[in-house]
Amino acid sequence: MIHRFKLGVGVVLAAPARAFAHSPIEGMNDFYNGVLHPALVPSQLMLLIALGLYLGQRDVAQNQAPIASFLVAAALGLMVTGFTPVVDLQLPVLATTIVVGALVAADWQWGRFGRMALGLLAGLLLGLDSAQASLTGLTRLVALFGCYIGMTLLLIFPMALADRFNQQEWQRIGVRVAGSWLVAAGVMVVAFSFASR
Amino acid sequence: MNLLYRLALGSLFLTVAGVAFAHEGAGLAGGFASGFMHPILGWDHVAAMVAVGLWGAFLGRPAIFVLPIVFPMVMAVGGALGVAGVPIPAVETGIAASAVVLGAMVAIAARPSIWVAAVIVGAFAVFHGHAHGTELPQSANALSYSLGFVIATGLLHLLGIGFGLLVRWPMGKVAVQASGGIIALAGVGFLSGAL
Repeated sequence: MIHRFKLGVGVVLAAPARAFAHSPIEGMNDFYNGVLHPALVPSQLMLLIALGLYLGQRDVAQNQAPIASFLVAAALGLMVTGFTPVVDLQLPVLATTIVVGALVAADWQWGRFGRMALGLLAGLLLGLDSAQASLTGLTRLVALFGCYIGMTLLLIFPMALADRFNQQEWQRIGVRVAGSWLVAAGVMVVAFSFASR
Repeated sequence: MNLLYRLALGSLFLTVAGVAFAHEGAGLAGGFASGFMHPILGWDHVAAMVAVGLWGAFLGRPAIFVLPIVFPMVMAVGGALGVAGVPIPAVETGIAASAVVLGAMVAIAARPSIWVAAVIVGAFAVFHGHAHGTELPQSANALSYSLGFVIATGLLHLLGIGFGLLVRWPMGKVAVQASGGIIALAGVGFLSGAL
């Protein structure tokens, strides 16, 4: 009986490895594909992390307007993708990441309207950059809704993290260092994009 | 029976591991892994990065966070030059020299102003970035590669800072300075080609 159990454990351990051999997206429905979309596009993920860290460097109470502007702009951007041709926005997304990452690294907070403008810009770019061109009708709508949820979550998580890591000086330094990493990676890829043209 | 059974189970696990390895190294994950390993597998990079962290910890605030912030940002400029194919003379010499100079700064407990320290560290960061940028594999995803080497660089700084915090204690200060001396000596080895 024990031998059978051990063999069963072995088979169970083997099974996930075979599942990983295929894309994790395969077999997922359109909603979850949409949710994962911003997490699986590195440039989008970087911008969301940068903006989340930036907003989290100040009290959450001061961020209601920037978050609202991000959410409105992202929804608008996603809706617009249904009516416009697909455009590659990786460079503008990375350029915005560099700006926001530099603000995080410098711990330089703009005024309320400046932060709202950043939220608007980031939301619009990410929305427009998330076109689900291969889908149509209801499936597209579901995937776009998933994207919206994914973007929202990926903004909120780093924001909450930065807000939590706002107590001690070393924690604030850690957030600033993360900002500098985002800037560095962004600059490299922008350079690579221009060089490979 | 027991032995046979264990062998069978062991073979099964080994087979599973084989399947996992068969899919390593491609796409986003491959680019990240390649970038992440690039600074770690080069001893000259490791020595200089750790020295930056040690020196930052040695100098205290604000250098402890200014240097690890300045380094990756300036390094990215060097990386951009490397990617763009803009040549910088004596890159490998510059990287080896960074280990010598930064290690020596820690060894002699140099305490220049934060601006001087940032300029020294930033100047050497250009060489490290250029090397990373030039060696960016064409097959790798540029973004995940960049993220990988930036994060690895940052973690090496963190390693140096962690060890450098020992300067709070007299014996720790000796250990940190000795580490700086070893890094400087290693740098001489890189420069001369002995290492």
